[in-house]
Amino acid sequence: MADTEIPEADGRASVAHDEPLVLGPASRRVLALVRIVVGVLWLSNLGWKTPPHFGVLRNYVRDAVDHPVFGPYAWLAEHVILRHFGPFAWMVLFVESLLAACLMLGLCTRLFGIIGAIQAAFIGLSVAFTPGEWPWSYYLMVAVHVVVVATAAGRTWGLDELLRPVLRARRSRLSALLLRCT
Amino acid sequence: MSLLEKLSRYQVAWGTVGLIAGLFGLFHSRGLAFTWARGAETGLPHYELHWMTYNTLGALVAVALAAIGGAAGATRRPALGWVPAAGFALIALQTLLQWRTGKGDNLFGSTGPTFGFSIALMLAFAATAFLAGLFAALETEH
Repeated sequence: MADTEIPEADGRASVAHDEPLVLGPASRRVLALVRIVVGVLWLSNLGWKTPPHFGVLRNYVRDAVDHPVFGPYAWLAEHVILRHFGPFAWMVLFVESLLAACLMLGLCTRLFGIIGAIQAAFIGLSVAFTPGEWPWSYYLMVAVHVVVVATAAGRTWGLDELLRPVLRARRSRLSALLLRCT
Repeated sequence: MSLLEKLSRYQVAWGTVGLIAGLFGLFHSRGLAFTWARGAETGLPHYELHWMTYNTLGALVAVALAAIGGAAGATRRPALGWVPAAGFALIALQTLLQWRTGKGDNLFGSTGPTFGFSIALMLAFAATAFLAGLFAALETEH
């Protein structure tokens, strides 16, 4: 969005930041495709995070200790996550399954976009400095989730588009909260 | 386009996606044992696209459920979406229970992506069937 210079009464120019960005149908569809691709990214990576042993996931968490990105997180990984690895691994499986499903479907997209950005940041904190990894892939993963949140990408080709009129018609606190998640 | 029409299209779209995935599963699992526990992958592993895995039984069940979901949208009977929603929920639950018992492989040849995809289709059909009921209730109110 281009900022617009507006002359004020005293002759000085100010910059208006409140000009709304209007997206055409083509742009909205592109953003919906981006959302679906992000969902497929999570789906595709569920294959190596499965029970009963969660072996590959454990190795990646260990990378946070062996190749620390951020000291406090390395301490957390060593003393909390690896010591209680079972519940943590199940949580990762459930969260990432829901991320895959909800981003592909466009269901509560903004909520799951935020969760996805946080999860991507934690993955980056674990493995960004592991030899052979490219740290920018994790910065980009966070960025693409932020785009999905900022553009409410579930409102085109997504369940959010169908959900919002129902939530708007029902005036309850839960509906208002869910409306913010879409 | 009315909301009910959009909802039906959504069911047809996800029914078609499920159907294609199941048909790919049938194609890739041809010649393997009917309930081969590891399942055949439908993705393109060479390109890091690890998608759903199915054995023939899993693929047939997925095709049948997705076809019902798609038909629910095509015939404008969205409540029929509860059937595939329940079916995909059972597939996800079965996968989960078999994991819990310490087996990495299972009856439908499911792995992580199959589990996630089953949850996606379960949510898609359950949400659309549920929303169809709500739309009807709201129309009656007004």
